[in-house]
Amino acid sequence: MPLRMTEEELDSITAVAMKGQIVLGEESNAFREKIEGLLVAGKKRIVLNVANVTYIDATGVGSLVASYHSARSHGATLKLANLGSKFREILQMTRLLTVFDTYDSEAAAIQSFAKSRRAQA
Amino acid sequence: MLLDEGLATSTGLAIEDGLTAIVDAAVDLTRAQYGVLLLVKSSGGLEVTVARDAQRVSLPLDQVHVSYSVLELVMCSRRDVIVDETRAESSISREASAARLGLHSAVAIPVKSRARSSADKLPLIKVLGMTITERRRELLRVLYLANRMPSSSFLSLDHKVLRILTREAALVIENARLFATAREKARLDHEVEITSQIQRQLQPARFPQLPELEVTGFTVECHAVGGDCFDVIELSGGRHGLFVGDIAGKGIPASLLATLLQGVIGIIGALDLPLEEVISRVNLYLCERSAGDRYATLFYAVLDSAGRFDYVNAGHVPALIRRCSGGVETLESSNFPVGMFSHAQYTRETAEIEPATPLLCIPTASPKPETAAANFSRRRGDFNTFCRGSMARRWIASSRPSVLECGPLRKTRRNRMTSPFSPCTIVGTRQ
Repeated sequence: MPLRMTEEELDSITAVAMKGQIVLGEESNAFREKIEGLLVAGKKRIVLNVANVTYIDATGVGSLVASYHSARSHGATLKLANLGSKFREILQMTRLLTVFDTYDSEAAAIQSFAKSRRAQA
Repeated sequence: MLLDEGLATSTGLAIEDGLTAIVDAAVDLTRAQYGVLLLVKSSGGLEVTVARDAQRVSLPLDQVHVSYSVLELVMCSRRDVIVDETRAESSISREASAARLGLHSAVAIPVKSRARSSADKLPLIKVLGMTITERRRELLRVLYLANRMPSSSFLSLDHKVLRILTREAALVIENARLFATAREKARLDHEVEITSQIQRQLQPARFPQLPELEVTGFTVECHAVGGDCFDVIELSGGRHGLFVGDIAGKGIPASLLATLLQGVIGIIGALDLPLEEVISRVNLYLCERSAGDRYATLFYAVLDSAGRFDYVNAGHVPALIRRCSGGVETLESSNFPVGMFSHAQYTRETAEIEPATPLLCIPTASPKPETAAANFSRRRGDFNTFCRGSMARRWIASSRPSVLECGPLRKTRRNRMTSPFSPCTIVGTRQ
């Protein structure tokens, strides 16, 4: 199943709903390009809603990490929302749960950006 | 004559020879003064590739005169275009560039591929913002024939014969393409085979013989080359480093990095530094030399003759120890894979391998994340089936496991052709 990504802008926070697989090939390339495009467009707060990601392989995880590095270099923050149990297990095994901010829902992830903005103010 | 051209096509002459023969035939048929074959480049431009006169002599390519306005018409319309100053019924009036060249008549015929290309779509109808397209034949070449003699005219041409000639030209070109593709594939297959051989040769040729333990390892190949590797490193004091690694990704890129990883582990491991230091250095090395999305999971352990087993599991699938009680213990990862984060810190764990411990198994499946995803997607049953589920556990928990029983396991796995998961290092007590 190809990876479909739809983005929504909510109060300068970009929520990307992902559906399908993040695997070696077109899917992981498309994912990288999507995030790269958002970063180049100046998006600084990005939430990836992975509720409908049905499969991620090692290359997909690599793309996720590469996007994390890229976001940091652009001064942006990448957060993950709606991790399924297996997605969470993958991040647990690779210790990536300590790297990514993860939230139970997209709303919670968006709210966390708002909170951090209030805290900065 | 057409039969001759067909022969030229089928006998596998070089593409230039085949196309030259076709231009010669076209010049003969039309009594043209010269004929030119132009390559349609991917940019849309044209390049003269063959130019022949009526005496079948090649003309200097950079000195051939062609009417670009005529060629442009062919490119746009993809149809034959005839320019003839003597007849009012010519398909177009005499073109300015043709006049400049002193041409009295010229004909340009598109050479199109036989199959319709999905990549080359022609907008057919535009309705309500949507464009309905039809697939059309790729424009490969343009055959251009010219006359400067006023008495010659192309209007009486037998178009059917000319079209057969252009179809022959298309056949020559497509055959040449297929041949080039097949040759390139054969070359790549050969290189993959060599890479595969090198990977196999890099595997340990012999395993340490210890008083209480027997060490062995093997690889089950699911693809010609891949990102799996394992090695045994001899250390001082009768100790041995056991390493199993798996590069994220597949194919030659992964195999290149696997070779690099194996080499780096071999060199740094032989320094006999604390394990966490070994893996930190390997991590740093990979971070400096590989792209951000390339990483490896690895399990590196040092086993001494007393059965002390220190290990670092860097994002790798858990190793399994079968205890005397029959229970199976898993040595899970508590570290980042290597090559992800240059600042990553690694922690070492310890396990005991008593002389009575029947078996330790360090497998590689597809890298940990992928394999963990097996149940997630329910698409494949590789690692979880093997390690957490039925196969490895059943095997490792069986009543009399020994390293010799790797054979049936190997066979079973090969027969099942489970998805890409391969090397497996086994440490077991001698029975």
